[in-house]
Amino acid sequence: MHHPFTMPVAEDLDKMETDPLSVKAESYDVVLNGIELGSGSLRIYRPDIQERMFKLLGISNEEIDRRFGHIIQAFQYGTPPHGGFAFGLDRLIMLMAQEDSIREVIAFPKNKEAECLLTNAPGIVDEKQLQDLSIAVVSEDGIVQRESVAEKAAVEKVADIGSYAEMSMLNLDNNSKLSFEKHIDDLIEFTKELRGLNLDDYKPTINVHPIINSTRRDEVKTEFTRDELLAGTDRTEEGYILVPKIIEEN
Amino acid sequence: MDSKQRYTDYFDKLEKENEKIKAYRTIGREYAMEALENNDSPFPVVFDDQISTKGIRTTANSKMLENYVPPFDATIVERIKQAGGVILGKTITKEFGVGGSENDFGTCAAVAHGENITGFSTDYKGSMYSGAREYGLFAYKPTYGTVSGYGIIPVASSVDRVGILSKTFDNIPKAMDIAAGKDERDGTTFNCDADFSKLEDVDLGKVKLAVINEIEGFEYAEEVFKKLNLPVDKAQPECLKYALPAYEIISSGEFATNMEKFDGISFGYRSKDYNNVEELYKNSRTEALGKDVQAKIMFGNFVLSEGKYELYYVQAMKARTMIKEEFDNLLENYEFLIAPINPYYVTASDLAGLPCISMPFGKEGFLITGRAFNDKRLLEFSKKIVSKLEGDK
Repeated sequence: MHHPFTMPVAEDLDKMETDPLSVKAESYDVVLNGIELGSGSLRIYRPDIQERMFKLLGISNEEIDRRFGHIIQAFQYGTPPHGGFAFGLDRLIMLMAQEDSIREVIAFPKNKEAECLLTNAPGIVDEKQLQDLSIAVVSEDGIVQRESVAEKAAVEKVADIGSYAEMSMLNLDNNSKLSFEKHIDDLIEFTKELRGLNLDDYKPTINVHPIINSTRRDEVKTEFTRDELLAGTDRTEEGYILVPKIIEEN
Repeated sequence: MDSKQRYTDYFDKLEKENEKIKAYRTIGREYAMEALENNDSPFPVVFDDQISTKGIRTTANSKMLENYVPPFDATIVERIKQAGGVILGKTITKEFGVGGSENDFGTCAAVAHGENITGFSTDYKGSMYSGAREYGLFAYKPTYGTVSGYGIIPVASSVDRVGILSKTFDNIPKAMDIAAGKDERDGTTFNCDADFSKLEDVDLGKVKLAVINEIEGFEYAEEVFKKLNLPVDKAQPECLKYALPAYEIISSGEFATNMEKFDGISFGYRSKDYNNVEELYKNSRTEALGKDVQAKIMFGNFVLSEGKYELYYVQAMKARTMIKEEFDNLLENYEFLIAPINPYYVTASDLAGLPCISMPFGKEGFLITGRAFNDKRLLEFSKKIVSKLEGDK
């Protein structure tokens, strides 16, 4: 048995309670040239069999009702026999590309810590998101934290210059740290009056003049050759730009 | 005299004097000679080093692009070349438009040095106008979107415009005639039907003018029009004092974003010293970008960062709307605005995307700003003023 929703084969239904380990499932693998592409099964669609299955697993009536009641109820309305299978497209591409890991074929794979290197998720949420989800941040002594991101941002000096260097992909030394801090602090001061204005009546301008039909004609053009595009970098290998490995080895 | 001989003579002179005038990053003798072949209507031009030229080094005055040779022409370069333009070379800019340089006004120096050169220059905070004043040139920035920005190494894409520089006024409409108009590679451009080759005469008695009052140097601009006996009202836009702060925020935010592509990977400088990709990015950028450029990137990321974005960047974009509306209102009452070359005014007209010309007359020079999309009319009016003032230069 795969999981508690897999349909047992019809001739084994009687053995569910008496000899459960010998019950075969209506499950299958999809195999191509000896490689497993994915697996699937027919699903239980009868409420009586589903209830027997849960009981077999030692789930109490109350719990069945609470956790799976909606399924069993839905089955009572004449659910047709159904089944299927699913395969991971990324895994399929990995097999076709003869790679060992799906990370090689995913545009933005997560790293070992399950962080997204593209969006930096998991990240910091703002006050508004917490409110929308009715989540309060409570400190160890039980006091609800109320300092909002906006209050932190309103501080009139640049704090943590390192994080802006990080965003800017720049290294800091002592000299540059001081001069960047001064540059930013000067501009914080210089823009102070502007920030104090009430501009609620104005929409932000993104395009200064209206943008009219900015689509291109649907024509295939070869503007650049591979050699032209590679001419700007000295690190190439077999027609590709050579870069250090981005994801660590397993 | 044979035109090739004239160019050869000029290059001989230029190669001797460039060190002194600090105009060119790359002198393009061989490209120019090639461009003279089978060319029925050659005319000399220079592009600044932030405008991509196919096959000619384009450095943005930065170690980052020291050896970068673009595989394509900016649209404006393509159009000028097709019309017979002969590129004399690439002129010195501030690093990426904002940083250090040997001469902040390299394009102006190049245009002033030759006889009849048309210069094409990017501009940041109106340095093009200041340079034009210093070198006695006309400098024209068309309505945002009139001339394609494709192929320009940008500072702030929503503000950047390629400007035209010349000693003689007539090169400006000539260049506009070639360069203006829709470019499908730049989604901000629009069709421009105006025929800049035929400028109409303007009846000065029917033009309503206002001078921007109470900013430094306005009296010199006013004086010029008094001498011409043209009635000029006074206008005091309230938004001006917010223009430069808003411009700092918007241009820095866009600059930080535009500069992200310089990562040492596909083109530009790559550090020799790295163990992983993050070090590759950081070391390449830190080693190759000047401190002023880095500082602007830092402030840009500051205003775009979480919690600061609304307070700084969105606020500046709202201020931009306010500035644009105030200018649009003024320009409903007046056809042209006269102003001194002042950073607050210049950045306001940039944020509003208005056409503007710098005129090398009077004690400090002055700017004439016209209505958006009315570039032709602004040039017609300017031409008339030039004809009245010529000799006073």
